[in-house]
Amino acid sequence: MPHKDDIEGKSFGSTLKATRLGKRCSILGVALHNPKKKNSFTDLQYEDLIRILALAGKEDSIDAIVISGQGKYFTSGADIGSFFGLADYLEEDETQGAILKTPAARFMTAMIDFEKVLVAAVNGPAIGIGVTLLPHCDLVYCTENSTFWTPCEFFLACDFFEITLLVTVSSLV
Amino acid sequence: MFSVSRIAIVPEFSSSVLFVEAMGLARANNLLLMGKQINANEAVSDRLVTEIVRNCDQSGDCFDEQSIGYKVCNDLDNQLLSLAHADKTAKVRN
Repeated sequence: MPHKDDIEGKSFGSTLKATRLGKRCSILGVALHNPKKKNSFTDLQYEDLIRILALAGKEDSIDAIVISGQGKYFTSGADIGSFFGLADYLEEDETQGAILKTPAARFMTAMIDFEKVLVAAVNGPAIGIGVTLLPHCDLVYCTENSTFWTPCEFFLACDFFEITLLVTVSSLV
Repeated sequence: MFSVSRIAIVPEFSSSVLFVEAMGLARANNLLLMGKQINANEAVSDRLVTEIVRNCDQSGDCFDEQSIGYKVCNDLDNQLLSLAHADKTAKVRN
């Protein structure tokens, strides 16, 4: 029986499309939707994903989330523009924990903390965070033509989840 | 992994740990340090991907690659039925 609720009906701007699927409508299909930039992860997209993970985690009628991409790309990775926003977070809070307040880090924490079944359905090229999020999923499916690429060293730009860990570890030495 | 920190490049999202666990240090470095792009078959052998969903199955049914999300959702729905009833089974047992 179709079960409409605020998760499916809620507007996630233009960054995500959430649809309940399956016979019992208990599988939430989430499609990344940022066609101009091949589904790159912007801060807005991180925030929307954090919200949808929190809502789905609390909703008893949802068993699993399947993350996929709209169009030919799964995701082109973190939007380079979002890296510049990091300076703002560090200006407000100079402690090491400031990095954990960024949308990217909070999204990563939300994924790790998500207690239901989390599935990735890779529909095409996956780049950067599109690849590194895969080991955090319970199941990963891909199409025959999918590709996986983590070109961190080419851009000298990475998300900062691990940096915090390294900073913490190095400060202990 | 010391060379990573020496050149001030850090793999994101715990990948320096999880990729090594999944595929071993050499293959993980090939991805994270060398920036090698891999295809779907390599991703399965590297244990990054569970399964490739073929465009056409044995019965001849084909689907558009872009709708893999829907296909996986529906497949999952059938296979997760047992999971959905697990809580009820647990209640009976208790």
